Order: sequence, then C-alpha cells, then structure tokens
Amino acid sequence: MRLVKLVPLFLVLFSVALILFMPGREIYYYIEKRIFENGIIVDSEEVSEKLAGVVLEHPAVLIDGAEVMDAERVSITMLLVYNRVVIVKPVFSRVLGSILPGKTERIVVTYIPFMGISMKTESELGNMSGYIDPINRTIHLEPDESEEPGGLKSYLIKSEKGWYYERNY
Amino acid sequence: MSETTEKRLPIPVVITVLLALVSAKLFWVVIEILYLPSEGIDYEGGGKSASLYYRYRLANESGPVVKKRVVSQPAGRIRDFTLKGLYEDGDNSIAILTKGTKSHLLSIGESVNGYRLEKVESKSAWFEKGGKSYRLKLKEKNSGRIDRSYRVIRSSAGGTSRKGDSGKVVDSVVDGAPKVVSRGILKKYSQNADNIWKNITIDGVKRNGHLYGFEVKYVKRDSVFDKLGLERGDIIIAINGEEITDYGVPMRLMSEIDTIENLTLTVKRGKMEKELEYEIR
Repeated sequence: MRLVKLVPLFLVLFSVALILFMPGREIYYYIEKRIFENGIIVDSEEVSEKLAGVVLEHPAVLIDGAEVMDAERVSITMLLVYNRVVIVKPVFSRVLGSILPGKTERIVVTYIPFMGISMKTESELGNMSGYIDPINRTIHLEPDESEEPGGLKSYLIKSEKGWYYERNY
Repeated sequence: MSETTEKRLPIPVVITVLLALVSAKLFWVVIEILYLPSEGIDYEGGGKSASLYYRYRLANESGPVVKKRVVSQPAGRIRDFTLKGLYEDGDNSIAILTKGTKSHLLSIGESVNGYRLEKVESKSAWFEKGGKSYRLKLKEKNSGRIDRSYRVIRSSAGGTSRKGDSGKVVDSVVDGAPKVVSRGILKKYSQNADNIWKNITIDGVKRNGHLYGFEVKYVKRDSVFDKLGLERGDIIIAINGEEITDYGVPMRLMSEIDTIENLTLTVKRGKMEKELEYEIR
C-alpha cells in the first residue's frame, strides 16, 4: 500500500526534477546542430538558460548562407508536450520583402504534438493568429478583430469566411 | 503502533524524493555525456566571400597605391550628352545619357556634371543647372523620327541584340567601360524589395545538388533590370567574381548595396559567358 503511494510521488517528483534539471543550453546546442545540417544557422546569439528552455539575445537566422531574420530576443520553451518560440521584434531581411505585414512586434509559434504549429503575431497593424503548414510551406493568418481590417487590408485576401493573410515561404 | 508508523513514514518519502531528484539529474548527465554537445556552432559568416571590389584591390596590391581616378570632366554643356533612353514613370522615371564611352543612368533628382534630372517626358528629359532649365531630346534620325533602337534600351549594359540595329550584338561594356548606375536607383529597389520581384523573377539553378546560379525567368520590359542588360534565360553564376554557391552571395550583395562602388555579374547566356560590369555612383 505504501509503495502504491510512493510510486506516483516518485513519478511526479521525477517529472518536475526533469524540468528543473533540464540542460537547456546543451539541448539548444543540439537543436542548433540538427537544424544546421539542414542549412539553417542561428548565429550571433547570447544564450542564457531559463526554466525548461533558453533565451537568445540578438540572434540572426541564416538559411543557405543568407541572413533572413534577426531579432531582439528569442525565448524558447522546450517541453515534450508543449514547445513554444517567442520572437521579439523580428526584422526580416529586406531582400525577401515583407514576410509579415507591417513592423512586427512579436511572433509566438507554438507546437503541441498532434495539434500542429500555431502562430500569433503582433504588429503595428494589428494582431493576427493562424498556423504554419510546414509541408506546404505556408503561413496562414487571420486578423483577431472580426471587423474590417484597417491598415492590414492591402495585405489580406477576402474569402467567404472573411479576411485572411497567406504567404508561401 | 500508530505513533511508530508516523515516525517511520517520512524516511521512505525522503528517500523517494531524493531518489527522484538524483534519478532526474543522473538521467540528464547521461544524456548530456552521450548525446548533447557542450558548444554551439560558431558561424563565421561570409568567410568564403570574395571582395566586392576585387578588381580594384588586385590592381592596388600589385603596385603602388593608386588614387581613385577622379573623372575631371569640364562642367560641360548639356548637349555634350546624348539622351539614349527614357523610362517614364512619375517620380521613378529614369533617363539614360551617354557621353563618349560612358553612360549614366539617372533617376529623378540625380545629377551628372551638375545637371539635375527634373522631369522625364515621352521624348525628352528636362534638367536643371544654376537655376536654368535644359531640355535634352531623344536622338532622332534625319527623318525626324525617334530612333526606336534607343527608345527601348537593351544594349547599353547588357549585350542584347538591339531592335532596329541591324541585328548587331552590342557588348555589355562599351569600349571596355563599365556602365554607370545611379546609387539612388539601387537604393530605391533595395529598400523596397517587393519592387524587385515585380520586375524580375529569378530561380535557383542546382547542379549535382548544389546551387550553381540564378536563372532569370522573367524580366519586365523596360524595367531597370531590362535596361541593365539581363535577359530571360540568363544564368547569373557569379557576383563580383564570387561563384554563387549559396544564397548568401546575393544576400551579402544586397546588404552591401549602399556602399559598393563596382558590380560585376557573370552571366551564362546560351553557351557563352558574359560579364556585365557596372560602376555605381
């Protein structure tokens, strides 16, 4: 009976301890190495650890040797069932044109297994949320406000369901 | 009995807690040792890039430092220039002038020899100097008709067959002189990249799984890219002597576009390789 009580206690404590002792920096380096093999480089960053993740200061992202984005800060949360990347003040390479409309303040990308990749953006032109489809290389976003989009209008497409933004990358 | 049980209970709990903590720590230590790197990737960007000014650097390294050649042209008269082409598009209008072997691509507000381009009309361009206005007409043939071979400029930079020019292929470099391109025009495009993609479509070409160059899929007629001599089907294989082996090469060019003074595009056109040279002012 006592053992029956201790096993759940052990499992709960073990799980919490796993998060507490997680070597965020080393896991990040491992991810960095894996994405490097696919031609994506995260460069010039200062890495500091936080609970269940890392914070990168002033990182730049290069794809196939070309700088495509830099940001003021990127916060990465790495939990097996909940993974989140928050990009603060991203600046996209001007050669790509504007990936996202307006000056973007914040991008939040969340990945939950079996639920896909969701995305939220906060820009000077309003907030949008949607998803990233990595197979079709598509970003699909819809304005949070249901009313007529103001400054965003020129970037959006109107469908029967309302306005939306879609761009292939 | 009950009291004894209560006293003994914390010991297994404490052991369980310690075991959980130690197990978790041990788990991560093993994972770290076996799988996780202790250092990140140290990227040295642009390490393999060639100098954007390699032509001039080579010349300088081989001998005494040569001061940059200052083209000391006399103030000159506007009629010393020949108006070779016009691109009429409001504030984005462009005029192409030649004087001797040099050609100048000017956008509105830019000057050559003190003559500032004020306005572009369908057959002429207006300049201002010292408070006076000057008008330069497109070159006309004796018949008084506009020479259409110059109206659509395909020759001045790019080595394209010029329409109405008896099929003569004009080389990209007139008497070896690079084409002068206005920095203002480059800035306009680099600051709003969407404008680039409205006028030109390029696509990466791979050979043996590696990037080989960029194929020009589409060039808008009369656009700046058309005037610079790029043609559909061209494969740009090097920029300033640096072979295009990754996307970083053109991206680095874009990031340095505000400061570069010379630009050479090596283009594969059919079976021939051509160098399109530009001097940026």
